[in-house]
Amino acid sequence: MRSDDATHLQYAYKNERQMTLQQKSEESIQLVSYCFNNQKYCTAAGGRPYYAVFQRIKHLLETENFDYSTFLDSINSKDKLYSHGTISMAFSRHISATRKDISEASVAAVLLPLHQLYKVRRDADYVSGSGVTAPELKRHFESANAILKYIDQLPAKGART
Amino acid sequence: MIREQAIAEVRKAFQREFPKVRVNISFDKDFEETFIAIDDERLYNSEDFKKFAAQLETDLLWPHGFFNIFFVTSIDSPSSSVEESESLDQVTSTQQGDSVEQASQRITSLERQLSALYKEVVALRSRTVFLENRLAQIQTQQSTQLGNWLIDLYAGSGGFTPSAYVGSGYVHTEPRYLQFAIEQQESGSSEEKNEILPQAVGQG
Repeated sequence: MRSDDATHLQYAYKNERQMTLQQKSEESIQLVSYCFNNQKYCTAAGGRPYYAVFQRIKHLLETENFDYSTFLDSINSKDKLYSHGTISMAFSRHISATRKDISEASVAAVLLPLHQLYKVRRDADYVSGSGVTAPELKRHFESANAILKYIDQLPAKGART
Repeated sequence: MIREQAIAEVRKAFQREFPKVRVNISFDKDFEETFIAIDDERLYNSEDFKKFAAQLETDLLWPHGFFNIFFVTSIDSPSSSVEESESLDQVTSTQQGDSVEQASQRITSLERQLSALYKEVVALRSRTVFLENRLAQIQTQQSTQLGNWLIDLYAGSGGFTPSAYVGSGYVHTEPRYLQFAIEQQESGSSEEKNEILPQAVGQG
């Protein structure tokens, strides 16, 4: 990316070395928006919708002191902490356990498009001959935004819906 | 429950709930991830499908320890490693009594599969070019090494030094030339090498 292009990005954080995962999530989604609006770097940005959601989920789990190690033990998983395969289950289980009247399956349903974003991210980053067009990136942006909006609107931990 | 059993259960669930949807199941051995792809983006984004897939996750897959099974729509990208999928023959086999809508859906599905195949062909071409370039590099390196070896071999014996041939593309890496040089070094006179070696090395 040329420096004059980079100046178009709206960096909201003065000290990027101290960015939280939530701020990183916001920057990821802003970058996606910039790319499809300008029809530039859409393949390079193809993985950012996934990471925008991943970072936001991890931020919530960390700030609400979710014990990922205990969770992995409880499901007999040898995956690493915050693995791509287990994070949806971890989030669904945590939300249903800490918010009244929200089921694990209902959270998993909201997160389903994350599967697609994950595959897009894998193909965009690692598979030769695979690219992301601006309209496709816009669709992925919308999918990610819907999940981010859901997370933002979740009631506080322990609150009733 | 092993993975194949879980996948079979998923297939049954699809046949029960969405009998018309085309399902492509692929397994990536490197990452040990399974992708269950449907060729209908509208359905994929519907609330019904989200609830259906989420129920499979929470009731079937997660309780049995299957965390790396992802539900996707296959529009965006080809699968890198296909384990089981419907062949083009199966897709193209027409069914008597199909409606126009069904035929249209099949054509759309075919177009998407062709698009995915095209992407794979592009990827394979790219890989082929890379390998050809690498092979050429290795051949050049081998030629240079053999040339240097021949220079050393004959410089020490006071005989003919084929340095003029080294940079001209006349030096070969085939075993028969290497064997020939060794035999000459072991038994032949310097005069014989002068007569024979340039011709042999320069052949072809």
